[in-house]
Amino acid sequence: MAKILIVEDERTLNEAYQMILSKQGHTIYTAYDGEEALETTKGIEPDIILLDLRMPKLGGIDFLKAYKPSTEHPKVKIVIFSNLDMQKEIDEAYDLGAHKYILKAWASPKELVKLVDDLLKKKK
Amino acid sequence: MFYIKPTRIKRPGFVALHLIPTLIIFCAFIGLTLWSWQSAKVRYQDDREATQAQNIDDTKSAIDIRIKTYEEILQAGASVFAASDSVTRTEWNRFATIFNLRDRYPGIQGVGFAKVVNPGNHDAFLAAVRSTDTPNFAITPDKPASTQVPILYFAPDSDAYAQSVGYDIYSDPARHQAADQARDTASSALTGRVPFLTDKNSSIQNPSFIMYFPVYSSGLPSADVAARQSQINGFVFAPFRSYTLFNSLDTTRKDDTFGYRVYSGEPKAENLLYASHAFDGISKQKGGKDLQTTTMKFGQTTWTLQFDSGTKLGSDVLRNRPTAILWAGFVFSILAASLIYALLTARSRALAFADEAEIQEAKDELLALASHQLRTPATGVKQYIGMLREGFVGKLTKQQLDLLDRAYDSNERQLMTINEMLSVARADAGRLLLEKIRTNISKLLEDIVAEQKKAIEKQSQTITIVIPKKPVYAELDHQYFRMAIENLLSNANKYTPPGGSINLHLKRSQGAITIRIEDTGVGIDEQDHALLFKKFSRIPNELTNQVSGSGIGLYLARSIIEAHGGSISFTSKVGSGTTFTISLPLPVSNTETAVKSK
Repeated sequence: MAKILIVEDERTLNEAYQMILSKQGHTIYTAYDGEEALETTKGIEPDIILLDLRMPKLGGIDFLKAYKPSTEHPKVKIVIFSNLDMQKEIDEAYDLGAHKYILKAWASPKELVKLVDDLLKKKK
Repeated sequence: MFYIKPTRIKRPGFVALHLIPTLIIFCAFIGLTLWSWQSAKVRYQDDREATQAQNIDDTKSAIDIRIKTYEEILQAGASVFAASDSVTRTEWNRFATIFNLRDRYPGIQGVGFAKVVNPGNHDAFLAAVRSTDTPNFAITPDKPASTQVPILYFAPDSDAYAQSVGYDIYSDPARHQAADQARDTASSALTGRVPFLTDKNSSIQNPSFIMYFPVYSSGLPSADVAARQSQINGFVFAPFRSYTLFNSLDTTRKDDTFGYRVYSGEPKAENLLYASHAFDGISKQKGGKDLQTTTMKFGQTTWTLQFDSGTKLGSDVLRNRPTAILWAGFVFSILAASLIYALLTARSRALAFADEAEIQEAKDELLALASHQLRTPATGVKQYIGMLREGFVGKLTKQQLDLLDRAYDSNERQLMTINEMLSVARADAGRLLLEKIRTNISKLLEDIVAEQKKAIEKQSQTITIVIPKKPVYAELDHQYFRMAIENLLSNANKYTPPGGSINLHLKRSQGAITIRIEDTGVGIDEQDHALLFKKFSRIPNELTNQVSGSGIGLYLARSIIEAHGGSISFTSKVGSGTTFTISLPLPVSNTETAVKSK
């Protein structure tokens, strides 16, 4: 099973994703902002990061700039999981090393599970 | 209750931002041009005045030198008489020949000697003269009772002047006066303009004057006038043709830039001695505007000189400079003003564009944030109801599932509406950014129909799809195109009663890709056709009150299809259903490309 870091400031959503993915047997780590996420990744190398963009303290884009996934963590699959669909930010996230962008509002629990499974298959 | 007053931000308008600065620059350059023009004019005027002054000085100097030279000749003539007790005609002719007068001293007609004959000496004088080589000598007019001064000698000899020998110069008041002046002042004296004796029979007006120089019996002049008057022996004289004299001076201009007139005494026509050939032309040109008058004194005689300069006097460069400056300055001012105007308008456009871009970006951000805030709670609802529906927390009863399905569907509709609102706002702002990729549209439509099938069959409707055997490709933005088709199918589903059918046809022809969605629904009244694609319009029919809708679905569908370069039309009749026809352009080439993961 995989190590998944959920970076989401909205607690209700964060807990929902924790419940959905932990039920699949994955090891779940959580952070409520980019700063916390950076702190968490110092100790672990997740397989997948579900990353929100608009967060307090440190947002998703700034996290990517600090985390440098393309050069320093190439094996980590980063999925932008955001309800903000501003093209400029999406493009920037891809440039900084994100693998996928999903509009949170479209992903039902089953679809989230499928997304993670597909990513893990690709990883293998 | 409080109200918010509208803020009226006053921005400087077109006039303040563009016209006024342009006019200021234009006026500044015109001012500079006029100042330069004026300076150049003054400089040219100074140059003209300096040139004119120099010309006048040169002319006066040349006249003075010439007249003095002729005076010296007469003095030399007087010396001949002073050096000898008597001077014969032959000696006098020799004297004149030595000087080669007519060739070397232009204007002078010759030199003569007129003898003073007092009344008591009249007969003796005549006898003495007749005893020489002039036996027929006579004084004309002869007045033995008066002092007479007949011309005794004149050289060089000529037929014209031969008749003047014997002429009493005292018989002419002007000659008389000049001779007396010479006698009394012991220096040369000039007549005014006098006709020569030879001119009386000539029809040509040829201004002339005569210079007299006294010859005293004592040789040298006495100190007082009375002694001079008693000792006067005669006069050496020289007649002059003015035009020949003045024309020989190197002071006239052939280029009509400078001319002058010489008058003996007052500047009247009868006193005119000379007018340079350029003077009349200049005078006509300028009407005497720059006329300068000065005098020259020769003994008791005053000459009046008038000078005038043509418009071309002075340096050509300085003369043309003011006009050149004016034209160049005017052209430059216009160019400078035009440049400033162009720069200002370009700057305004750039600023406006930047402002607009900034405003648009702010609008985009606001829209995105608003939709983000609206989506977030609905997303939460979706996850928790989803977990219940999808069995994440155990099995539920059919009834529980049914209730959850309704809640889930309602939430989904809310999310769909938020998405549509955002898309409509973007479409209205022209910011519907499509990411078109080459797509197998046949497969895409099949997928959409498969997804919609459950909802459609729930209404006891049937849906069929007809696609060509060979896959059809189109350049599509998956997300938006799907949204458009789903809207059309959703509409067909909503407005078709149970038992009805929905059919989707895909066709590829030479010119385009055509998608036809037809239903056997309630149809649209002809009077409502114009409202169909309008934003927020919901056309009233028998099913309107039973179905929900925001009224933007078809508006959005049309915006999306038109953004793809396509078009949408429809035919409909009440009770017979509606057919929507979408036309899309063909892709550039016919090969499939992989769908990107974006």
